Amino acid sequence: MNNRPKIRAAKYTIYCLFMLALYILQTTPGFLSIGGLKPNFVIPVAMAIAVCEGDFPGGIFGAVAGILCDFSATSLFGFQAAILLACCTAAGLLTVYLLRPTIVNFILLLAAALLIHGMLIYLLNFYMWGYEDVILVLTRRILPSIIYTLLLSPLPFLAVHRLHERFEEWLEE
Amino acid sequence: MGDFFKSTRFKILLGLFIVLFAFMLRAAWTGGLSPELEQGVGIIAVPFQKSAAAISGFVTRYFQRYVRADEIAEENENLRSQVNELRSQLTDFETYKQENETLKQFLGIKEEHPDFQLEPAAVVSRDQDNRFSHSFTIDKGYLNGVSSLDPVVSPDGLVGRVQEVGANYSKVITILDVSSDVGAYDVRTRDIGTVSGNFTMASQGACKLSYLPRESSAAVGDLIVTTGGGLFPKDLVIGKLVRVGTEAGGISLYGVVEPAAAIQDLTDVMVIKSFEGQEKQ
Repeated sequence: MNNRPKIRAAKYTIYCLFMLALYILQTTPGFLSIGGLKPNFVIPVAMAIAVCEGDFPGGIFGAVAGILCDFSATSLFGFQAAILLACCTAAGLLTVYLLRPTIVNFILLLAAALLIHGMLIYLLNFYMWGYEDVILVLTRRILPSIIYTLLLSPLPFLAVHRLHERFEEWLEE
Repeated sequence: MGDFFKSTRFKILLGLFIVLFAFMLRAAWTGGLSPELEQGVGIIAVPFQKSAAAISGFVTRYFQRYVRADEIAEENENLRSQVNELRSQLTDFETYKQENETLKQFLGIKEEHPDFQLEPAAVVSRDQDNRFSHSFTIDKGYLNGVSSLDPVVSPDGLVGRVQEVGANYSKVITILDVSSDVGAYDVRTRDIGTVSGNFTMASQGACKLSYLPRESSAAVGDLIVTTGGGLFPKDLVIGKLVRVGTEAGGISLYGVVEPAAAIQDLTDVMVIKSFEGQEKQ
């Protein structure tokens, strides 16, 4: 009997649950908060899935991560989801055609995605509205938050990579 | 890579992108009401977030006590086990005591303002990117009668207003947020201004009272309250002035307001669902 569809379904269900669990931790008041800064976990998970699984699952999980980020933010719903869908699809394509799915490439791709995401939020939600001292958002919030997220990002990558390898073994059996 | 752009996968992802863009336009159009997709996320995520927030609060309180217990243990090793036993009993007692005190304070608001229709709510999540606004999500939504723009208060004073409302959750922007504007006056001098968020001050947990007249005698320590109107009830305490300065150009004065409510550490708030003179969206 062919169990491949079931194994694939189990894999993506586990990815979803993993992302939801990390999202709950990410939004829990006070959890891993340093001077008001908190790391983002769902974007690294989506990027790890894009690197390990390729463009299509990466794009879908990028959109899911964005929807979760939009849910806890007060910006327009769909904004972060659209950005992350595009970034994770691009990262998935780069991994399929040009790069190897290593942790270094993952961190570089994640850094690029976080910068694009952060700069678009800064430009469209803050800079273009002309608020006083708006540069502080970039220097004291967005950039430190990106660094904090990058520092912790190998953990979700290793978890997703491990799950991916385990499921690939089961699919080959 | 060219094959990808001709594939069904690309068409599905493009379709999803267009749907998300449409949601974004709809959210901009409808203002305070969350889109159905977002409400679906809320129905799944909010109960988990509520539990996570409760566990986080419990763990924080537990570890704070544990540090104190260590100090006691150093002084008296023989009593350590007894202290631990008593501590576990005290955890429940102190939680109930704290809840009781909070509810008593909220009852005080109700007695002071009989026209207020209040809804108690718990903070279930804080935006990961909230260093300058301290915005948060509460566990009450339109099923509990909460509407967009409803004022949110703590027993100490004004916290902010509801920005967006879903079935079982609402997003609150605080008075530290740059998009928040509240009409306010100095109780002593009666000078009127506008309290709004400012990036420099928000990082220190303060907000800005702008447009004070140049000849105003507003001084450090003055109490700042709401002027009232359609969005906020009159005479809600916002905070006190901690600094007064002259705006660039010298046309008006501004004040730095330290909010009366401990906005960064709030765990429970009250939503004012209705008050005399309220303008509903």
